[in-house]
Amino acid sequence: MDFNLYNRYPFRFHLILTAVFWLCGSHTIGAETSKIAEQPSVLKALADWFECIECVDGELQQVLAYGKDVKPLLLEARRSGPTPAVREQYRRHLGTAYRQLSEYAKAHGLDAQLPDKQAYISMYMQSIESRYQGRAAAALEKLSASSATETPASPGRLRLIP
Amino acid sequence: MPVRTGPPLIAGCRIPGCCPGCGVNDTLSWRLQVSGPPGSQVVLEFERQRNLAGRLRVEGGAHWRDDHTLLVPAGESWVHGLSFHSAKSPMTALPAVIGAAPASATTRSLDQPAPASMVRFTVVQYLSEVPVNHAEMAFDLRDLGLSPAKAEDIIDLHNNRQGDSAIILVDGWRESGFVNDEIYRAADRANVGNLLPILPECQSIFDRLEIKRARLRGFEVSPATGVPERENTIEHEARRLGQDVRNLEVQLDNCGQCPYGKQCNSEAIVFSNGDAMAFDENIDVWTSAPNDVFYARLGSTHKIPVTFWILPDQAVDPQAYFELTRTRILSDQLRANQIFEEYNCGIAFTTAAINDVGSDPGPALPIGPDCLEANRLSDEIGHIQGHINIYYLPQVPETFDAITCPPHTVLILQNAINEALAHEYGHWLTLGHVDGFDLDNDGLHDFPQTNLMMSGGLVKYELTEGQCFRMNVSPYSVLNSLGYRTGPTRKCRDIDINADCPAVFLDVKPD
Repeated sequence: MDFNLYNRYPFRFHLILTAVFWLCGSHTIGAETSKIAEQPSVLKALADWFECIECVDGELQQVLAYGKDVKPLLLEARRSGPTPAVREQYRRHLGTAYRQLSEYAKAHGLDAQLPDKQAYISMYMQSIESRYQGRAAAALEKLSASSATETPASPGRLRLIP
Repeated sequence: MPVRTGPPLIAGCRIPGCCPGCGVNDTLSWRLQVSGPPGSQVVLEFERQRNLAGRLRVEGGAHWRDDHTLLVPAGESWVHGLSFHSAKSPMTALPAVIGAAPASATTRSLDQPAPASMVRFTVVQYLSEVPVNHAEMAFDLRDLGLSPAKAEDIIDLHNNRQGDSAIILVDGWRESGFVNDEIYRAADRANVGNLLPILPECQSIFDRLEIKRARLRGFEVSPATGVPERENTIEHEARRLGQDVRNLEVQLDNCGQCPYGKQCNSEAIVFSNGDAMAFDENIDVWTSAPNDVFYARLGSTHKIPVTFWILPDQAVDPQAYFELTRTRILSDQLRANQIFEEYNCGIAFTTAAINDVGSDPGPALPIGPDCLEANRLSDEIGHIQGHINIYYLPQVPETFDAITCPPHTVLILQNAINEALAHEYGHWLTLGHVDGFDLDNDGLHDFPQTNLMMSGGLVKYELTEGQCFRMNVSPYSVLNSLGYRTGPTRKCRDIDINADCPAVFLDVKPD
């Protein structure tokens, strides 16, 4: 690869490579995922599903509407959990929350109710790991169940967002 | 110059797999948009980075102050070349907003569209041309800590136990007409300028309106005899009274801009850390002369008892699981109480009991957000009347974090996020989700992504005074429906903004 050229036009190069993989019928996860990951609506649907609390507003159905095309992203989430950026954001938030809780607990004589900082952060970090992996697994399970009875979605069914 | 800080911005995707097969040379671009009064700018300080100015390419008005601090003026700027491959320490920038001091730092109704003192900051992260993450922030640069310098009428706070800078909302009459939700800050005494009694002509119209309304409500009963009159007489009287009421409502609307045909009461609402919200809706001490004093008496925080039920996880040691979940419950509960205190709602949740259901094999667990299942659990396990009952579930198929169900029940997963319980309490206190609200029609979201009642997002902890007010006064709030608060109630929907109901997004900083 001509790195000078790559550095000069990294975005275009990335798209070209993706297109080449796709046109050549490459079935690497990377190429397939890129195709659908370039649709903001898919990313939003997945974010809504991974981050909802009640999840009663059709968040899962929105993900399932993309059919098998969303499967590579779900597989990645089931395998690796949240992204490093999301992990870091939540870890920092927990650190801030712990500091506030410590002050609150101290002021109200409730220190004994609060675990130590490391245990507190670790407890909730495990929560988002299992949340992302569990919700990805739940969506994959639904997809598998529906694909057994339905015709697989074709790339032409993707909702392309300008 | 006022300075406000925001949550950290972290370079990277929001969704796993958004950059499959990326190489180490793939980088992100950030589109930075700042809007606000002239002179406003956002300062982005990148952590643990050296010589960023030489590594990142900047477009637009943004420029480097030093090798790791970027100054972003109003308008659009771009930063290219942000690395996001380090799982251990992703590139992180801490935003702060610096604004020119607002011209007036006294009062304003927050029910009005966003003022010139508001700075909005939006960051969209792009990989190639695809937005892969975004953040929105809004900063109010006004310092609302000041009261008018001239001592006239006073609101005197009694029993502000923490001595914090309480937030005081005032409705009342001035020479210029009715003022709605003026904001003051004080620890003990707030100078509120010269407030007047209701204008006599408005009071007269209101009194007549109330009489007509009362008669209209009971028009089938003769006021003279107390027995029903003939049907045609009733219809005629009803039509006449209805017309009178409408005419008087119009007159009242035109009297000192008192909206919706209602009497514009002289009111004061006080929000203070660690105290119950004080709400006085008929203040009658204001005279046309200055130096009137109104004593706002703060009381103890309202307490709502909560009973917890821990359902067993067959896969792990029962005692260890109980202890783990108990730790989780105490942390969740502590966080809820800290948020409701810090954001001045004056509401606390007390742990009445943490029950170990512990039966083997235990009841069948719900596999989704289903309130029929919640009712079944209540029947099979137990339910304490008059309490909020929280059922902590083991890691069932993860299709939700938590859900509220009647009567006064919450189902919550043992591994929900740290603010899920506080969020569900918000629902029981009548709050709804606030995603996408733009009630003031200014084209911008009314709530930050960090508001506790957002349906999504992992980081949420803020409450507004408008939300605290509704939680306290709604007759449907468990605070009132279960009898843990006595005092005036009001039916204020989230969309209501009027003399009775402050905007739900009314938020006074600092809290």
